[in-house]
Formats: sequence, C-alpha cells, structure tokens
Amino acid sequence: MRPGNDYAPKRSQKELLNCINETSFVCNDYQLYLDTHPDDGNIRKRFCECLEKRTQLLEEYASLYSPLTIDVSCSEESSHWSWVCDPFPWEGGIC
Amino acid sequence: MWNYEKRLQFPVSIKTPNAKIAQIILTQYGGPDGEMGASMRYLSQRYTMPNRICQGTLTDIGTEELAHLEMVSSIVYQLTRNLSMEEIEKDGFAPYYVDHTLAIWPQAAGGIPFNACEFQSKGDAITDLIENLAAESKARTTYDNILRLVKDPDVAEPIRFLRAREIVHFQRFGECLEKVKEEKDSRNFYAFNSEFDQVSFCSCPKCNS
Repeated sequence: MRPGNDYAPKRSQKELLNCINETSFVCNDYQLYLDTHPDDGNIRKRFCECLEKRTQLLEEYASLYSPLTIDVSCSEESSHWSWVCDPFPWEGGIC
Repeated sequence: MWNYEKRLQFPVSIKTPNAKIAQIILTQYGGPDGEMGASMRYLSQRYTMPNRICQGTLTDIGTEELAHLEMVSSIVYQLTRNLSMEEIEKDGFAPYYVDHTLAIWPQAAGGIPFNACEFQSKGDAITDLIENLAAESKARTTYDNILRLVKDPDVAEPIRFLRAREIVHFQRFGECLEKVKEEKDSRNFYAFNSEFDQVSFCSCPKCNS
C-alpha cells in the first residue's frame, strides 16, 4: 500500500501509526504464545505473515513520515538525521 | 541487545493534567508491583533457567515490561506537564516536586523509592516462576485499584491495556511452570533447587530424541 497504489487510499500519519501499533501487538502476542508452544506450526505461519506486514508498514511510515526504528532510518530520502527532530512517543502528539 | 522503537506499545495522549492521579499511577513505575520491578525480575531470572522455553519467555516478557515502563512514565509525564504552582500545592504534589521538579523518578504512591528487594531472582525455577505468577496477579490488582480511582478516559484506556497484559503474562508463566515440572526428575517429588543441580537444556524435540 505504497503511495501510487490505486487500490488503497492514502492513510494519515495517525492511521498508519495505529496500524503499526495493532500489527506489532499481534506479532508480540503470537511471539509470547510461541515461546511456550514452539511446535504450533499454524500460529508460527500466522506470526510470519503478521511480521511481514509489520516490516512493510514500518518502511512505509519511514518513507512517508519518519523512522520508528534504526533499521528503517535510511528509508527516508533526506540528508537530514530526523531521529532527534521528530517527536518522542511520550510527548503524546500523534497518538 | 535491545533495539528501541519510537512508539508506545499502546498510545498515550492525555489532554488534562492531574497531579493527584499522577502520584497514584507513579506506583506502577517504581512501586512494589510496578513495571520496573517486573522487567528487572524477569531479565535477571532468565540466565539460570533450566530450559530455553523459560529463558525465551522471561526475555520476551521482560522486554515487554520495559515497554510498559515507558507507557506508565508517559502517563505520569503527561499528567504532570504544564502544572501550575497552585495545582502542585493544591493536589499534594509539593513533596515530590521539591525533590524531582516534574521529572520522572521511580517511587511508590506513598513515596518509598524503588528498591531491588521488591523482587527476587532465587536460582530455583519453581520458586521464581511462582513469584512471577504472584507478581502478575499483584500488578493486575494494582491496575484494578487504579481504574477505580481514574475517571479520565484518556488515562483509563492505556491502564486497561496494561491490566489485560498482566493476565496474558500470568498464562505464559503458568505454561513455563508446567514445562519445568514435566521435565523434572520424577523422583524429585518435592520439586526444589532445580537450577543448582541441573544444567540448562533445550526443550526442542530434536535435542530430546
């Protein structure tokens, strides 16, 4: 759902962040479940699908707005180091 | 190794400051059943656990507790941001203010500073996992108590999220305990001192075949 994709309307920053939060939460909950049920292949498959979606969303957010982790801090086309300019999460801005 | 993500696990956006409620919620930062004790407890206990299921679960729940620590700190920060001197005095926040201004510092609601004696890392998997089950239950009760005092939905929503996570963690620690019990020597029916006497091993089917 990148910019230019005709099928998906462009999401606002807040919507995209909510989507990242929700997807990350599902990944996290699957992860804890898999820690105590390592043989559940069905849930492992769902976890992998969810993780792939999360990775795409993090890259989309970084390219449109700002990087949320250091791993996607080069997705943004800028010579500027935005990590210390964009708000920190406790500020409660884009929630 | 940890990797920071510039987002909260659940969003916190509080419009109205409230020093009274801030002081109450601060207890889940550095109080007896707070998130600092929870994260330090799990991240300390994991090294000597007898199997990798417990080591992994403690690592991942300990990591999630760090995210909860950040959420609780954010709630307190936003509840005390832009307070006037009149509000600080009227809401009984002056004793905290005089030592920390409006910075975040780990203490219980009654003012007792955070102390590592609020948790144990005992070197006995059964003992430690039972402490963790109790810790999750106590934290859930504290969130229940907070929810009876909080009226502002901006504050109540993230607190409800944190409360629900205590229940999930309780479940996962219960499963760890069952796994440790299953793997114990069947003659050890008193189920004690497992970490000192046994080496850690992997629980995967390949290693056990």
